[in-house]
Order: sequence, then structure tokens, then C-alpha cells
Amino acid sequence: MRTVLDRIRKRHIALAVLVLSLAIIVLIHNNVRSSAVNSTFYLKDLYGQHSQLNDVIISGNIQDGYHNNAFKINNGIPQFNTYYYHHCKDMIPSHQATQGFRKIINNREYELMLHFKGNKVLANIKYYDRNLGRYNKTTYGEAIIQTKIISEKYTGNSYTTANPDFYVITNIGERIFFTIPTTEGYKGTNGIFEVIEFSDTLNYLLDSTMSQEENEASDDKYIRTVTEFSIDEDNEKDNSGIEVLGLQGVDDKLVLILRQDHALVFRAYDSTSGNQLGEVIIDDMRKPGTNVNNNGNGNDNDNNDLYDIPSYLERYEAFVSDSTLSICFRKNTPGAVEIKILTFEVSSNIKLTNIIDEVYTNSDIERIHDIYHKDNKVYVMLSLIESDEKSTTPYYSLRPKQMYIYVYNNSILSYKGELATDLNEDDIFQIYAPTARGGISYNFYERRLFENIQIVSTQELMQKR
Amino acid sequence: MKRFYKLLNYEVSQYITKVVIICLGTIISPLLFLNGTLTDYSNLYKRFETIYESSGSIIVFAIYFAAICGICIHSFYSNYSGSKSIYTLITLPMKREGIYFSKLLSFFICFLMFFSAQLISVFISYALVSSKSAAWEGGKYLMNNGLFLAFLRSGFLRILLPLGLEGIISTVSIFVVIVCSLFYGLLCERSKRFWGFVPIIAVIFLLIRVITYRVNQSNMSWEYINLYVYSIILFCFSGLFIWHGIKLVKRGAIV
Repeated sequence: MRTVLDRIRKRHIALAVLVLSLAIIVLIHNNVRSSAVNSTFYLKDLYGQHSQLNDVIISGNIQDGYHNNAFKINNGIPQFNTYYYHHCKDMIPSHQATQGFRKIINNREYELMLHFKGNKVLANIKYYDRNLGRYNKTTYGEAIIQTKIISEKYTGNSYTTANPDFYVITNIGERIFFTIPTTEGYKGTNGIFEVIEFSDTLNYLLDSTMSQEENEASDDKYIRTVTEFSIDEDNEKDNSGIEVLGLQGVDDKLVLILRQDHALVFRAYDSTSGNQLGEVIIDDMRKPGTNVNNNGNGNDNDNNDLYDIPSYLERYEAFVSDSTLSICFRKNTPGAVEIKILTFEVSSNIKLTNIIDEVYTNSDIERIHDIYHKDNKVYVMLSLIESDEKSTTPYYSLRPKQMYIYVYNNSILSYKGELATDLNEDDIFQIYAPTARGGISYNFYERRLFENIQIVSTQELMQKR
Repeated sequence: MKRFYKLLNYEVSQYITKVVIICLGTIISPLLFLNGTLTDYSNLYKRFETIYESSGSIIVFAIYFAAICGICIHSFYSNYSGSKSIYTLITLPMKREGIYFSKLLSFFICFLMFFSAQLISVFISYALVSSKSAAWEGGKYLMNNGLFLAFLRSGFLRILLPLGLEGIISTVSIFVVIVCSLFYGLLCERSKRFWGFVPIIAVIFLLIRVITYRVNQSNMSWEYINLYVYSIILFCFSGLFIWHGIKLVKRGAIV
């Protein structure tokens, strides 16, 4: 034995050391790489059987700035593959930065501005292509139309709308549609508009339209009116004016989301002809705030009735999958989180398929990731965040979050499961850090977050293949 | 081939003891520094990579890295001092390429040993930190799969042991070009061809650019470097250094 070792030491030392070093490097590399699977990732059944998920495939990503665990839940079995990032551009764009603020369609950021010419309303839609390439140049485009809306309240730059422009700009493939989120203070005729072409001359269109003479024919080269609808109150039917909350493209149809009196109105239109395909009215969804009857004939009794009707916030979350539309509204109740999910089939008509009311008592909704429905089954994927009172940390973003999957059958809960992950552990280094002055830095590079979750029916996926 | 093998063994056996000592140092000294950092329990909530970096282990790495370079340089110059064995080397009955590669490969082996020792050191360091963390307040600071995450999230560890293909190729190219440049620099100095340091300076510039880019991956920046392109450039430089190095040895210019 000794002589063999001596021989190696004397004659083969180079080879021995080389092989040993390489073996250590390869072994450690394999060990670390294969430990990617050790991340916690399983489905905890909290109510019902996870066989309820057999009809759908849930896919999504858990990413930080360095890697992505792309996962699939097929037949209720979660699996993931790990991909490594080398550049920040490898990341899936973070939803958190844009939700509810900027409308991003095909990597372009859209915004809608209203301008007032006397009491006439001009709608100015712009896009910025911030897909910064080699030259770090933002491309830009705009289009403008003079609408038939009459502004009663607003004339200057400060105006109020029912919802931010995020909700009223939508697309069908490459086509861009929008409507004007009119609320109280606007009269006349609103419409759904399609942008035919964007001009790339900065502010030229706006200036020329503003300076145009009253009777001059407006240039409709850039925007076409798909359809028009009145937003005036109807004194005969005793209706108040219509508020426009949003517009959503579904398949090749458009769904307009309106509020009139204490009801939400969903109207479907054909995107090409502009023909109205149908209408669904959901009662008992009042506007938040003390809403004295608009017609001026309200009395005390009316007001008391009003408070029995639940009020819902204007902001909603919409999810589209082929010809289905799922919309989630949040009830305006302090202290508790209540949502109402409405699902629609939009084809030659618009049909309400499910209404689901849900209350979350112990936690707030952090984010609704996806809602999918097929016939009478609704799948909801959302993350809940520990509520204020129970919280151990003063920072909202550091509170523990949990990811849940809900399945409703005929609007009744049939399955609830938690997708267990390690995500909350990424906050440890900030939770227990000495309290920083002026808050903490929230860097989404340093924490794993869910992105781009999609629920698709297994059947449809097979058909598409 | 047999002569080449013999010469290689001779080269390696010249410095093996010193390298082994440095490797042991590489493995043990970070543990001392980490232990020092962890005696302050208020550091335990931090992530492993933060503790590792703030304990000074990267500085320790840099010092040992410099020491390894020193050993290589010393082993090269020792041919010129005392018995002037460079003349024996040149007159060995074997191809000059063999002489060149035996030296270069012995440098590689030396750096590989150091590299593997550094990886072992990180492994043991993690075991130390995680065991301390697990024992503290029911392990509420302990992260699941922390070592894997540390190798992704720490700029230093990510360059040391990248997990994605683009990173692996980049790290291999960095490793190869460092060893080749070192050897080429020595040859240039010996053969008094000082313009050879111009491409070496270019390589240092590229290395700094690639390494800082990879360290700063966590900072939101729009700067984009294709690591494959840079790896190819670095490999080309390595090829150039080897080609010209062989030429210098063949001409006997290094004597």
C-alpha cells in the first residue's frame, strides 16, 4: 500500500491532483445545482380533494433576479423546472410595478389624456415604446379624437374620471380600443374608439386639433368610432347618468363595463361592426360614498334604502381566456375583505355564468393572480397577506403571504388549497433587521415572487396542440 | 508524451507542498473569520451570502489567490536562479511545445487545486453558519435551501460557481484567460518582449468589465453584456497567448 502511494506521489502526482480537483469541482457543482429541487413546493389541501383541479393546468413562475422556478400543476401535482438568469432582461416583467397604473400592451405603455376645448372633450391616446434596445431610445405615438361628450364640470387640466385610463384601454390582438371613463359631470354621447394609426409627431395632433375652427371637419384618419352610447340620465325611466368603468377585449368582442344607479351593466359589442350583442345588468352594486339621489328627488327613506345596498369600488380585476371574461370587484367595507367575482361567456351574446361572493376575515388580498372559469366551475388563484392587526412587522411588503387556489362549483366552494413555498423566507433579512430610518428598500431582485400565473383547461390545451 | 508526463509531474511536485498548505489555509481561515462574525448574534438574521461577504472571507480569498499566483511566478523564476535549470529544460530531448504545455498545465493544476479548496471552504462555511442559525431561537432565521440561493444571489459565489450555462462558460473563460495571461506575462518578461503586456492589459480591462457586470447583476441596470461574446473574446486572447507563448519558447527567446 505504502509503495503504491509512494509511486503515485513520485510519478503520477500531477494526474492525481488534477483528477481530484476536477472531481471536487464537478461534485460540488452537481450538488448545488441539484439542490434546486429542494425548494419547498407542494399543494396543501385545506378543503376538498385536489382532484377538483384535474380539468385544468396551472402554470406560472416564481422568480427573483437570479433564477426562475417555472411551475406547472397538472392533475393537482405541482412540479417545477429551474432556469437561471444572467441579465436583468431575462426576467419576466414584474406585474407589481404596472398593475392599475400603466396599461402595457405588447410591451408598449399606453395612456389616455382628456383635453377640453370649451365644453367639448378631446381624447388623446399616446403610447411609449419603452422596450429600450441598443440605442436607448423611446419611440412614441399619439392619436386624437374630438368626442361628442359634453363636459359640464371640467375645463382645465384637472379633471375627474370614473377609473384610471388603465381600465379603459384594451386590445384585441394588435388592435387598440379605448373608451372615455366618464363619470358625473359629463353628458352627451360617449363611444368605443379604435386607433387606426398613431402619429409619431410629438404633440402636433393635439395642437392642430385644439386650434381647429369649430366647424372644420375633424380628421378621422387616426381614430375610428366603433360605436356610440348615451351617458345622459333618462328622466322618463328615472335613471341617473351612466358612468363608464372600463372596457375589456374578449376574443374579438368588446365588453363595456358601466354603472348606472345601483347596478353594474355589462354590454358586449362586436369589435368590427360595433353592433351591440347583449347586455347583463347586475343589481345591488352601489357606488361607494354617500350618494344622494342624482335626480334631486331623494328623501330620507331613499337614503336609508341606499345603505342596505352594498357598495363596490370602481377598480376591478379582469381576466380573459378565449371567450370567457372573469371580473372581480372589491366591496367597499372597512375592516374586512369581501369580493364579488362575476364570470361571463361572450360569444354572439353575453351570458352571466357565475356569481361568487367571498369574504376573507383574517387577511388582505395581496394580489389576484388569475381567475378562470369553464361552464359552472370557477378557479381562482390569489395570494393573501397577513392583516394589519396580527402583523409582526410595520412594513406591508414584509408581511407573510400565502398562495391559495380556490375552486367553486356552481358558485359553491368545492376546493381550497395552499401552494406552500419558501417565498416568505426571503424577507427574513429585513424583518429582523434593526428598524431602518425612512423605511426599507424593497428590491424585487432579492425576493422570489409569483409572476404570470395562468390557469388553462386541459381540454383546450390539447385542442390547441 | 511520456517525457511530457514526466516533466509535468516534476513541475507539480516542485510546488505541491506549498499549494497544499495554501489550500488548507483557504479552507480553514474563512471559518475563523465567520466564527468571529457569528459571535455577534445580531448578525444571524442575515442571509448566508451577506454574512460570508461581511466576514471578510472574500478578502481572504483574494489574498490566497495572490499567494497562488506568487507560487506560480516563483516556480517559473526558480528556473533562472541558482542552478539555471532553464538551460537543462531547453535542452531536454523533447519538443519545445511539450516544455511549454507542461508548465502551463502545471499552472492550471495549481489554480484548480485552489479553486476546489475554495469551494470546499464555502461548503463548510455554510454548514457552520446554518448550524448556528438553526440553534438560535428555534431556527427562525434559517432559510430553506440557503446554500443554493447563496450561489445564485451572491455576486462572488455566482462567479465562483455559476449554475446556468452562460455563467459557466463565462467563468471557465475567466479562469483560462487568467492562467494563460499570467504565464504569457512571465514569458514576455523573460524574452524582453514588453509589448506583450498590451494585450494582457486589454484582458485585464475586459475581465474587470465582465466581473463587475456579473457582480452587479442585482442592480437594476440597462447595460447589457452578452457573456457568450465576452467569453469567446477571452478564449481568443487565451489562444493568442498560447500561440505566441509557444513561439517564444520554440525560439529559445526565454533563455
